[in-house]
Order: sequence, then C-alpha cells, then structure tokens
Amino acid sequence: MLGARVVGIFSLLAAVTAGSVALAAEKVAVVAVGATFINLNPLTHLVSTIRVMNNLLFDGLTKFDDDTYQPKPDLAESWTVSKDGREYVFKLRRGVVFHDGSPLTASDVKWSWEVICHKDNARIADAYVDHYVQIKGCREFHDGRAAGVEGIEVVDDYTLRVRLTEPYAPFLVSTAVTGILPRARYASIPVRALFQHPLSRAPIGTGPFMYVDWREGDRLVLKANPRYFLGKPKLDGLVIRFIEDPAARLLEFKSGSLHFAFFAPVLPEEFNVARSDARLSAKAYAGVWNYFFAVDHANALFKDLRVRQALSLALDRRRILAAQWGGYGIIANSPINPALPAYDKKLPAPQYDLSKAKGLLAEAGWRPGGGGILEKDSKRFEFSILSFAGPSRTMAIVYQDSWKKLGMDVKVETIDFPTLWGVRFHPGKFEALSFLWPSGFYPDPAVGLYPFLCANSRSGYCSHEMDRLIIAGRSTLNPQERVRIYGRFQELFAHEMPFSWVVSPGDLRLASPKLILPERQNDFLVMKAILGWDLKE
Amino acid sequence: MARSALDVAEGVHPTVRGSPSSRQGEFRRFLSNRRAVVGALLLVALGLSAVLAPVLAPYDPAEQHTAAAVQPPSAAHPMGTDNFGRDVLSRALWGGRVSQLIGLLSMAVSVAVGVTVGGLAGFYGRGVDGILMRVTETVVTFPTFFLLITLVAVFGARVWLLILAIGLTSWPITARVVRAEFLTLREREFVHAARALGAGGLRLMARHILPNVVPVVIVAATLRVAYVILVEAGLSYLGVGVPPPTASWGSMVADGRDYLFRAWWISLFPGLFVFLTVMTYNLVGDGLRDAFDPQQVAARGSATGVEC
Amino acid sequence: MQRYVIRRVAQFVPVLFGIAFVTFLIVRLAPGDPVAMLVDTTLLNHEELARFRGQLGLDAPLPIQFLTIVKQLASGEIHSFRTGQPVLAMLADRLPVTGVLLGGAIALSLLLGVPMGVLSARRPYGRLDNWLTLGALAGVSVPGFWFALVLMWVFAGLLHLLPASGTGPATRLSYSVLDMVPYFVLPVVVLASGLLPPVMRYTRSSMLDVLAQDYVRTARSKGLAESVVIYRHALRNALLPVITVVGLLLPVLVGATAVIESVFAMPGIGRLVVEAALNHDYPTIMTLTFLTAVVVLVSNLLVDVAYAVLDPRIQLE
Repeated sequence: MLGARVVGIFSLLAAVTAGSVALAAEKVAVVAVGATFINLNPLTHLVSTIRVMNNLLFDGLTKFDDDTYQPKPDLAESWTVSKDGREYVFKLRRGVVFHDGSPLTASDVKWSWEVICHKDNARIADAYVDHYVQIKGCREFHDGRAAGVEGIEVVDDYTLRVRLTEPYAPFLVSTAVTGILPRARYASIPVRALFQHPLSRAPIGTGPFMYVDWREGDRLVLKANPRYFLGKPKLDGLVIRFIEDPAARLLEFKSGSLHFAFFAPVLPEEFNVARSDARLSAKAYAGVWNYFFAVDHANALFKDLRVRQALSLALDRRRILAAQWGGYGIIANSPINPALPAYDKKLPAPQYDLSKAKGLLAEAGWRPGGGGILEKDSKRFEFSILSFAGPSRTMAIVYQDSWKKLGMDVKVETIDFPTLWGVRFHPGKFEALSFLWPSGFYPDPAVGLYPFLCANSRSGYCSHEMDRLIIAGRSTLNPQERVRIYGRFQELFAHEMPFSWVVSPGDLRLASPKLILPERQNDFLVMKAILGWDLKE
Repeated sequence: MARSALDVAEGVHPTVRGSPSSRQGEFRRFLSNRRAVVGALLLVALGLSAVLAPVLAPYDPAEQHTAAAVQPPSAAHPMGTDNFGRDVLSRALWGGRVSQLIGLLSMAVSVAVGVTVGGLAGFYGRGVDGILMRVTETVVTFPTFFLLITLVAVFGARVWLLILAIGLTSWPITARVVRAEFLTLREREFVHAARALGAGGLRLMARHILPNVVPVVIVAATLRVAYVILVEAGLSYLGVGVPPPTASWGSMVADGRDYLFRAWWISLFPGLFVFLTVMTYNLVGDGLRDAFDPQQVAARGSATGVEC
Repeated sequence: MQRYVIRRVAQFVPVLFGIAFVTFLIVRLAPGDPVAMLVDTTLLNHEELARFRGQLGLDAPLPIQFLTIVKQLASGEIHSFRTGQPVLAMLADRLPVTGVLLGGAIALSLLLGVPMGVLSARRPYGRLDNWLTLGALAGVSVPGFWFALVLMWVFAGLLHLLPASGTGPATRLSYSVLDMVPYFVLPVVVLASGLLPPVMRYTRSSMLDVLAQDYVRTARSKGLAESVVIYRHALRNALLPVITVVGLLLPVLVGATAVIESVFAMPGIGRLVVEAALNHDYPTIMTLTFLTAVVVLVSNLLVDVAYAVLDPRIQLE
C-alpha cells in the first residue's frame, strides 16, 4: 500500500499542480506564516493559528467589529436578548450554503456547538471552560449525563434559541463567533476521531475561502468561494506558505513572490530599512502579544510581595523596547486588550527604579552575600527562569541580565514549547517563567481570564477578591458597570502581580506594495478583513 | 580471511606491518607531512585558546551592552556584537571551551566502549564476537542523529547527557577497527609465543596486544573528536544542544540566523570556528594515520570515511 | 548466496526489535505526561483525562504499549499524536522532496567525486592530489547548517541568483518540475559537500589498490594506452567500494537532510524528524526511526550482495 502511494506521489510530482488543475486563478495572494497548523477544524482545538484561519474558511453566528469590538451579524442576521441576559434568539440568514453546496440551517449550529461541549473533545477544553460552559446543559452533556445540550434549541430551520445558566457578557463576541460546520458531513464521525480525520484537514465551512489543497509543511491553497453570502472575495485565491526562516521570507518579499506574512516577526533593523525599499511595504501594527514573566507564588523566594515588586522594578521596559524592538510598541500593564473600553488607560505603567528595588529586597531581609549574590538565612537568591525558543528566550535572557544587577543568580532554561506548555506550565512546575499573553486576540475583557481564577491558577496565586471581580465582570451586562469592575481588577492585578507585564512590542509586518490591505490595528484583524484584500495588476 | 564489503569499505584492513613500529620513523613521517604539522599547530592553538579563554576574552561572554547591539566588527569588537550587545569574539572563545570539552569527553566515552567491545570481540572470537558484532550492527543501524535529537528533546538538554549520548552512539567504528587489529595480532608470532609461555587471556590482551593497537586507537580518537564537535554544533543549531546562557558555537550560529543579511558576523564567526576546529582534528588524524602506517593510506581512504 | 541472504534477513529481526525497543524506552521514559503536551490538564477532570489517555493508548502498562506500537508499525496503522494523521501518509507526502535531495546529492558526488578520485590516483601525493585531499578534509569538516547559510547569503542574498527557500515558486498555483530545479540547487550542493569527499577518497584508494594489481600491470606491459588501462580495467573494479560507501553513508545523509531541510524550509522527511522530536510526537519518531533502520539494513545487504556478485574475490561469511 505504501508502495502504491509512493508511486502515486512521484507521478503527481511530474505534474505538480497541488490539486488545482482546473484553477485558472489570477489574483492569488501569497501569505507566509512562521508556524505550521495542526489542522483546520475550529471545533477541535483553539490556538492562535486557528483563530486566524477561522475567519478565512468559516463563519459564526456573529462576528465582532474590527474597531469597536461590538458584535455584528454574520450567519445570524439578527438576534434578541432577554432582559436578564440569559436567553438569546438568533434568526439565521437564508440562502447561505456550505462549500459543498448544502444549505446552512440551525441544526448545523446546534451540532457544531455541541461538539465543543462533547466529552470526547479533549483538546478544546479551554474554549469549553472559557465560553461554552455557561450554556445551559453544556456541562451535563460534557459529563455524559445528558444526550444533548438542552440550552441550544432548534426552533425551526432558521431560528435558534440559546439559554445560559447565567448572563455571560462576552457571549456574542466569543461563543457565537465559532465557525459552523455542516452536520450532514461531520456528524457520522465520532467526536474522538474528529481531530485526526481527513475532513478536519480539508474542512467544509461557509467562509469566503474554500479549501483546495494542503501540502504539509509547504503550503495551504485556498480559493475564493463564489457563493459567499457577502459576495465573492476580490482575490481569486490565497496560498499560505509555511516559511519559518525570516531571512527566507525577506528574500521572497524582495523577489515579489510573497505578499504578506503573519506570525512572522521582522527585526526592527530590517523593518526600518524596508521602509525605504520600493519593493516592500512596511507596516507597524499594535502588538497582539504581551510579554510577561511569572513566578511561582508558592516558592519561598517569591512569596513576599516586595520581592515580586522588586523583580518588576528592576526591568527598564523603555530600554528593552528600544533595544529589542527598535522602540516599536508600548509598555504592557494589563491582561486586557488595549483597544477595548475596559482597558484602564489611567493605570500607571510599571516603574523602573533599581534603587527602590534593592531597598525592597533589603526590607524583605535579603542582603548581599558571597559573590555579591543576595542571601537570607544562609539561602542564596538563585532560581531558573523557564522559556522556549524564540522571543520568550530572548526576553528571559534580558530579564536575567536585569536581575543580575539586583544580586540574583538567575539561570535561563530553554525547552521546547510542547514540554513547556504541557509539562511545566500547566502543573505549575517552574520557578520563574518568561511567556506571552495574546491580549490582542481577545475581543472582550472577560475572555481569557480563567487562568487567574484560584481554581485554575498555574502559578500558585490565589485571591478571592480577584475571583470575585472576574466572575462579576463576565456576568454583568451593563457596559459602564463592567468598566468599573475591570478597572478595579486591573488595579488589583497591578498591585499583586500574579503575572508581571513587561512590554507589548509592535508587530512589524512586511507586505508587497501590490497588495491592497484594509487598514487595521493589528495583523490578526487585517487577516480577518480578508474580504477587503485586493491585488493590483 | 573472508571480508565483507562493509569491512573493505571501512578500510578495516588487517594491518600489514613489517616490523614492530618504529616511533622515530612515525614521528619523522608526521613531521614531513606539512598539512598534518599545520593541523597540529592549530590544534594546540585552539586548545590553548579554549583553556585560556577567561584570560583571552576581552569581555564577559554573557555581558549585555544593549547600546552596542548588532555592531559590525571593529577595533573594540573584532568580531562584532550580537543582538544582546555581547562580544562575539569572547563568546566564541568561551564557546570553544564547551565544544572542545564535549568533543574530548565524548571521544573518551566512545573510545573506551569501542576499544572494550572491539578488543573482546577480536580477541575471543566466535560466540563473543558474534554477539558483540550484532550489538555493533544494531548501534550502527540506529539513525543516530534522530536518536540524539529525540534523546535531548525528550530528556532535556544537559551537557553530560550530550557527552554520553554522542559517545555511546559513535563507538562502532572504533570497535570495528580495534577488532580487526586484534584479529590479526592474535595470530602473530609473539602472541603465540606468549601463549606458549602460559600467559592467560586478559593478561595477554593487555600486555601484548593492546600496546600495538594504540596507534590505531589514537587515529580513531582524533577523528572521533572532529565528528563529535560537528554533531554537537548541529544539535545546538537545532536548539537541542547546550542550553543558554552558555555560549555554544552551534547555538550562536542559530541566534544569528535572524540577522543573516543584516549582521552576517553573528553567524559567520562561530561557524568558522567549528569549521577550523573540526578541520584541524581531521588534519591531525589524517596525518597520524599516514605516519603510523603509510600502506594503510592506500587501502583506507578518506579521513572521516564512514561515520556512524 | 541464497542462504547468506536468508541468514542476513533473519538477523534483521533482532536488530530491528532492539532498535524499536530502545526508541520506545527513550520516548516512554521521558519525564512528563505525553497527554499534557496535547491538552490543558488543569481544565480536564480525572475521568476525562483518563478517557483521553485511553484514546491515545497511554493507559496500558508499558509492555502492552510496546506490543501495540509494534503491531501498529507492522500494520502501518500508526497515527501522529500531534496532527492525528497516519504517519505513513505524512511520510509519503514528504518522500519526494527528500528523495530528490538525496538523489541529487548522490548523483553530484559521483559525477564529480569519481573523476577527482581517479585524477588523484594517477599521481598519488602529487600536487593535485594534495590539494584535493585538503579539499576533501575541508568538505567533511564544514558544518552543513553553516555552509547552507553562507551559500544562502551569497547566492540568494547578495547575488540574487537562486531562491532561498521552499520547493517551488509559490505565487503560481501550479508549477512544473523544471520550475523546481533552482530551489534544489543550494540544498543539493550542501548535502553533496559532505558526500563528495568520501567518494573521492574511496575512488582514489581503490584505484590505487587496483592499479597495483597484477592484471593491470599485465595490461600495461601489453602496451595498452594509459587511459585504456585506467578506464577499462581499473575503474570498473575500483567503483565497487565507492558504491559501498554511498550505500553506507545513506543513514548519515538522512541525518544531514534534517538540518538542510530546516535551513531551506523544505518539507522533507528530515525536517519531519526534527519537528516530531521537538513536538514529542512519539508515534512519528518511532516510525521514522524504525523505517530508517530498515532502509539501512536493506541497503547494507544489497551492497554486500552486489559486491559479492561483482567481485569473485569476496567471500561472504
């Protein structure tokens, strides 16, 4: 069998068309991405790459506005919300078809959402816990105590009623935006086998682009959906190339064979040179990622708040931005997306004060000992900071250097991302950690805050006040009230420092001058606005 | 004696040596080989630079001067600075310590195992030989690079793990070479004589055969170091080698890759160091082999012919 | 002959078993829970985790797990932890790229290495020979990943003669094999740089061997022209060890492709190995290790047999 496959592949090689023989494409944009995708099914897992692809291949009931982050109709043309915020009734658009031509109905939505609540769908647990568990009956279905999710009711083919156990403010911009897949094609696949099923790699959705071919590690080919309900995209096709090497990407840009790149960092020096290069278009976007460091609050070294404050005071964030990112970006001070109203603009930026830091450490009982390393009760201040290859490691080395000035002996430990994520971060097996927080992806302040709940804490930090604020923030619907709650939340966060925010560097992106891109705050939103993309002749 | 293609290709030739080796003759032959002499001098220089790194390095290899980041080679920084403002020359010198240390220690492991396995197999023959050769074949068949990547990715990057792992996967060639020597020497007259006088197994092996095997082992050992340094650099480049902040040549090249077109010196110099160091060990190993047995050269072939 | 082949094939089994066993031990004894790499374990309760672990076959005792993996390897029904795809399908997808790389490197090394070896053998220790030897030593000393970057910088960055990455022009949805050629030039050159020196040296040494043989002296004394002597009589026999070397260096080359494919962003098997290792994708690691071992064993056997068939002096033990 393998032999036949090999022969088959070799003959295909002789006529490499990537399955697009019939495609007489003209406007094909080529986009490079610096990381590979696992699969393309948003119902099976939720990572940043999926968030981007979600918008290309699928639609949800709603989507959020790129500037105001308010919910807008997508597959649902209208909806009503009950006064207590626990019941939504969606009216679906008529005439929407999936990529295979079958019509979209409310039962497709019910089925898709139930997949996320399904007990065998282990890899989407974070989405389930964050914004599906509020749906009435989802938890019971997840625990295997019910045959379906009671709270999702198909009233008729184009009407869906959803009941929640409690009001959930981000519902319309987080839960309801998940891509919808056709029940008819996917329901026969057991949920446990969905992740590795070929249909998860060649998915069927309703989105503006359709799957054509995916050569693993090489490129993903999409073509425009002529039957898209908002009209056929201006581009005829989209090729996503997996190029990890920044040097290679730069060459491709210069030779005109690349139009855009996301998850593809560009060095500030390169960026500055590119600005004056006629072959390139250079765009500086607001950063999506907050860099932070976290410490194990259960560790005797870091228990004392003064120590944590000292660690933060020792970082000259302005200089770090200038040195590592050419000055592009802002100093980070909150987990909340800075584009949201709930983001506290008045919150002061973390300070840089080396002498104050040393003073705090002295107050906490740490005195310089042998070799200039701080000591307390004959215990040296030494620890290791965990990182993974890439900017996480770069920052860890920067932190290490800054903390050396305080008299701390810090070692940088770099491991691969899966090990860091699974083996060290989640069980909280680290002393210090250099990591990233995707604040720019979150359309609502409540989204993504579940790790700060006592129940989910990774770093041993637990505050009932913070729990109270997080829960209040997500179940209150009044916008002004929410701003107040999150203001208090951010204040508490800045004071207690479960994570210490460092910087949010700008995302420097290169593009081809031939590509017409809609103006957006960050490159995630630019990819989301794919309908506005066009190529000059 | 029947040989398989494998043996022939690896140049595992029974040594055809006329008289017991003449040290003086070997020494003279080595010195007349210009390549080898240059190699030896460079080797000493590189070794000294590694030992004296703390003295020779103008800067602390971990010290960051962010104001002076990504500077081209200059008087202050002969090899430029990297993206953290660290002096490339200092890091390269210190990196040399790590790489050469791993190279030598790993070689020691490899030679120790190789000589033991090869010696036992060659001396006792028959059953022992059969089993040991099966073991050797298993190790050779192992896709070592995959194994190393997996080992380090799975258990974490530790210097001693690297030393052991590389050492324990690179001994087969030494074993084969030593075995061949033992097989021939076993049949030689002085061994027969010693046996007749009642010398037993291990004693025979240690006192009479082993000393004659030394030249072959020295050559193999030198070439092993070259191989280990290359492998370690490759692993560090892929990110599964020596962990930071320790400077390692391979990881320095990887660090500089993002800056390849803007700041070529960050990647160029560490790679150059690897190249030169490996080259010197190969030159010396090649020269030693020429010196110990010129006839062997005709039969054997390239310095680092078949690596495992 | 037949008995020899059968005996060797029979010896495959313990070797492969040993390799599978050692690889299995390494990946399974790794610290940490493989499930933790795939899901957020703090979000799932015990039951769910246990169920998920069961789905992946990780709850059985280690010996059972080993037998399962062996069964999966034998049947070919083995799936990647990371993407869930059948590993063999992933391999088949990537085989062409690595195949072309290896094929190109071998062809280039033979094409250039054999003539260079012959030339050095004509005047051993002469000037040309010395320079070629130096070049050979340099070739095996240069770190592949560094050499790749240097070439990339020069030919793609400075001179803009060749592309820096990928396997074909991506802006076009379809392209011909001819379009792919420039993308393979640099990677093949880098790969060949490690293979050419041994090929050259073995050609040289076996030519010297053969040239000293009686039948060559006889041919010379018969008054045949030098070139005839070399090409008709010597070269044919000298080529045998060279083929052997290529066969034996195959596993090393495969390791080298891992680095080369990573640097040039080519979707080949070598890169898959690196990705699988870094992602702790145990099924993929095991399959690749196992298959590579099979390839090595088979190619060793083929080389030995070919050698014995072609050279009557060789007796197979």
